[in-house]
Amino acid sequence: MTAEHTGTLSDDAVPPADGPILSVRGLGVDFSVDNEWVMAAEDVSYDIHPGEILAIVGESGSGKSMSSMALLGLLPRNGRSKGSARLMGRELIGAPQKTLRRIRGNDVAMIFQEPMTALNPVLTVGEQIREAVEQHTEASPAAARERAIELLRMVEIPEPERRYDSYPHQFSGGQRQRAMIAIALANDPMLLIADEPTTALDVTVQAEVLELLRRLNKRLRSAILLITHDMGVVADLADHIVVMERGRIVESAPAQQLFLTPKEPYTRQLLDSVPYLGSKVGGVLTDVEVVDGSIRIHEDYAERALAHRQEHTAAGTVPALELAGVDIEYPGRFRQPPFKAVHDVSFTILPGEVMGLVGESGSGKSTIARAVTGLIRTSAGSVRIAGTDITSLSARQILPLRKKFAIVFQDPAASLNPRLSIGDSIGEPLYLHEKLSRADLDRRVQGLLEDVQLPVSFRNRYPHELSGGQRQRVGIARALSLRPSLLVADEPTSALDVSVQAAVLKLLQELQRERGFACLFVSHDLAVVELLASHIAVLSKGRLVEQGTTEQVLKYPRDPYTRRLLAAAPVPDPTEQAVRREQRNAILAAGTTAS
Amino acid sequence: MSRSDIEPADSRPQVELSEMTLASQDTDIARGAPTRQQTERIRTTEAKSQGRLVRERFFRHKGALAGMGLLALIVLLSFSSIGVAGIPGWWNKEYDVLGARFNEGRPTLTLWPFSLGEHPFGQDVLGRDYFALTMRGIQTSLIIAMTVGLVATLVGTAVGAIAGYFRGWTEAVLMRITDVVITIPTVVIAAVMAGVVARFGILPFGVFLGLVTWTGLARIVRGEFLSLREKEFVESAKSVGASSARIIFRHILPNTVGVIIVFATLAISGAILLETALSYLGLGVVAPDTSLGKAINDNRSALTVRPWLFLWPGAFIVGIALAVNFIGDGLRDAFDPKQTRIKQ
Repeated sequence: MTAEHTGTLSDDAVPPADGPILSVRGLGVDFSVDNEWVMAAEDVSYDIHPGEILAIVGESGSGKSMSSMALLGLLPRNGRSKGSARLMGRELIGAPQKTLRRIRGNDVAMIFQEPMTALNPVLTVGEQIREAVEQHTEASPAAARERAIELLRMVEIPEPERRYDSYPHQFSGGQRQRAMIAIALANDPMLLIADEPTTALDVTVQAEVLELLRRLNKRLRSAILLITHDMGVVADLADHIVVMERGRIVESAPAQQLFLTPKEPYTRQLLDSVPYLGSKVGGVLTDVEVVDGSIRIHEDYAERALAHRQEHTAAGTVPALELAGVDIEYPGRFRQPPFKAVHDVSFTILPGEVMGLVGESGSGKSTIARAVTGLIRTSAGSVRIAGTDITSLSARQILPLRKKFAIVFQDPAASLNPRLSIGDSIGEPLYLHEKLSRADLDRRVQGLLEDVQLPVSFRNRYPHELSGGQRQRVGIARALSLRPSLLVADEPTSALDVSVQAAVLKLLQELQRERGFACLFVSHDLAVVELLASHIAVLSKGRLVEQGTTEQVLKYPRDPYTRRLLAAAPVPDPTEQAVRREQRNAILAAGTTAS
Repeated sequence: MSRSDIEPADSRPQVELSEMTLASQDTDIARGAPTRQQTERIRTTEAKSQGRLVRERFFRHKGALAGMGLLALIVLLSFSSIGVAGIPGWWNKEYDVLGARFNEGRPTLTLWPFSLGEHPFGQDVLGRDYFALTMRGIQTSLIIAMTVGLVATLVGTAVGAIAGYFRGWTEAVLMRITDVVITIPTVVIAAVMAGVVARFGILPFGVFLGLVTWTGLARIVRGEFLSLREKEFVESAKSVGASSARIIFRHILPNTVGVIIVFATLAISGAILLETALSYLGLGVVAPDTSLGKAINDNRSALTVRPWLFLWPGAFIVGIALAVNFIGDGLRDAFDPKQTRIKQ
């Protein structure tokens, strides 16, 4: 595709006309832990053909990343690999580092998960792309610069000549990932290994990056090895899917077949635990029709469907949480003006109701969650919890009220004190508010552990001895210890694997039904929110753009931003995803022209 | 000794421990007249308090136990032999009494058959009994080192914790004070304070040294606090209404115990050297009193002729420093719940 760019393939490797680009047979990875070899992957076999996208899916610890790192000889020092992996007929396993170094970034390129850490902050993006070009070709600096700009254009970065001299921090998250892709593509690799390429990105940005990968794959005829845990991304992109569990391949099948008729119980379980957007309300964006790549919205659908819905606010009951005209500012420093994270947000949660607060990163959803729990001061408006405005109260006056609300944090590893035993962590709110005797406290902690389905013996353990899901159960037990009337859950499952997420969500749902607390459920994942919430509020850049019942928001969104968000969320079903992709492209296109 | 350095982190669990004694549990169970099954259930799931877990882990650390044993032995030897505060010990000679030199002051200690002889560690040039002198030196050095370690650690931790947790003007004021203390050379204030110190004895001398050597720890602890106070578990504690004191002592401080203990052990070994340097300049311990550092200094020219004058205090300095370091290692590991298997 470029004039001066010649094939960089070594001379001895003539690609077979129709053979696979990469052929992996019986690949195994072991790690030496305390002088014992621990298996990380075993007997992994697959083929990737030109132009194909092969996805390896699995939960954390399934060996999906390690088996791919082994291909390029990038295992940590205590790792070893065996078996065979042939790239265009050349053996990679056991090849000397020198050979592998020539292959890396040249015949095979990688895209990493976190685009901020993968780019060097003190070099401009252009220089980093140029470096990748110069590493493997004899191109002159000027030619390499030309090539870098061309690559930036190819990954659809606007004004590539100007952006060449920008630093990574001047790029948005999506643009950084595009820049990473440009670096990966610098030498026309035959194989692109994408390790969770969109996990750190917002859904709308993820949709754009996925679209870019798809287009590039079609254009360049290179193969992509996609490593991910996200079944939606897989459904969107992959042709062939390999499912891994605990280091072994469970099932390997073409995408359509795997989603429609999964053979293995593990695959079925994995697919079942993925929350499916629109499963509860029966479809999303019902009133949007795509005609020739542009959208038409049937306003009357919503009116017909929602004509008979009951009035949301029941008179007479005191709402569990009521926000009215809330502004939140982060104070400025030196001459910087204060940053207004939340503008004029108002919503109400009735007792026993679950409200989903949805938005992308930077939309202010976590800020609201913290303001509601009194961790951040609001600069205007009122936050009423069971009728009491907490914004004007001093820390001491809030104290008795803290029994009424509790918060579950996003990262269960960070929200538990590593030096406190689980029992002490769960018992802390009880200790602070109820001044129980030690024996009573022990009994209550025991009861709470049983409530969240953890063995009582866990009380003497420490957070690092628990898995992510177990830690989050502890977080929930701690939050529910005082029987709050309002629970704020700030992305409680986004750090967890899908099957663990499903279990934690189920637990949360059961506890909510049983105890009837109101819940503000903050999440970026619409499918998760749909499962739990009866009402949804959508935040964008600190403003509430839309709120209503779950059905109303998902099926008949009024705001273009909500539509974009809904369209961008991938669905774990390739057939439906293909239809939705068209809708998505149309809506995203409409969104960019409108904004 | 160094256990008390980390008092704030340790005190609370111990309070809980006293509430968790078997006696209190038994009465509780007895009052409820429980079935056998209930009793067993309570016993199997009994919560262990943090203090108990720390102690269990500490006593599994062989190096720390060896250090404890060595230090206890040294302390016992020095205080029981020549006595302390007017109470006579089992050794019959005074460290400040001059006498005739016997066999050029060579050590009379023989290991096989074991016998102490007249002067087990020999005599110095003035004919003083070097065993009594060394024992006196150990007493002085230990008291100074421990006092310095204690004072520097407490002040440094308190200043660093308050500055790092409360931020704002509190931090600004405290850190400027720290900067000022850093800029003043220790030797210069020591020279100014020498007269005062000489009048009041070694304990105030130790406190004074502690008051000028806490700055490093204050900065380190402040840094740790700055990063830990932003952690979610601190936010989580705030959200359930924990007070600032509780957050500092229960949530943040235990997470900084590692650096604090490392600093404390370094401060103790450093104090012995600092005291030596000051004694050399005539600003610390003054004759006829002595310390290990001073003993080495007084006899530094005797290395080739009478090496024992050099050897004995030197061996004890090394022994004390090693023991303290091992105990520090053990404490650090004991406070870290991630340490499941204890090395060594």
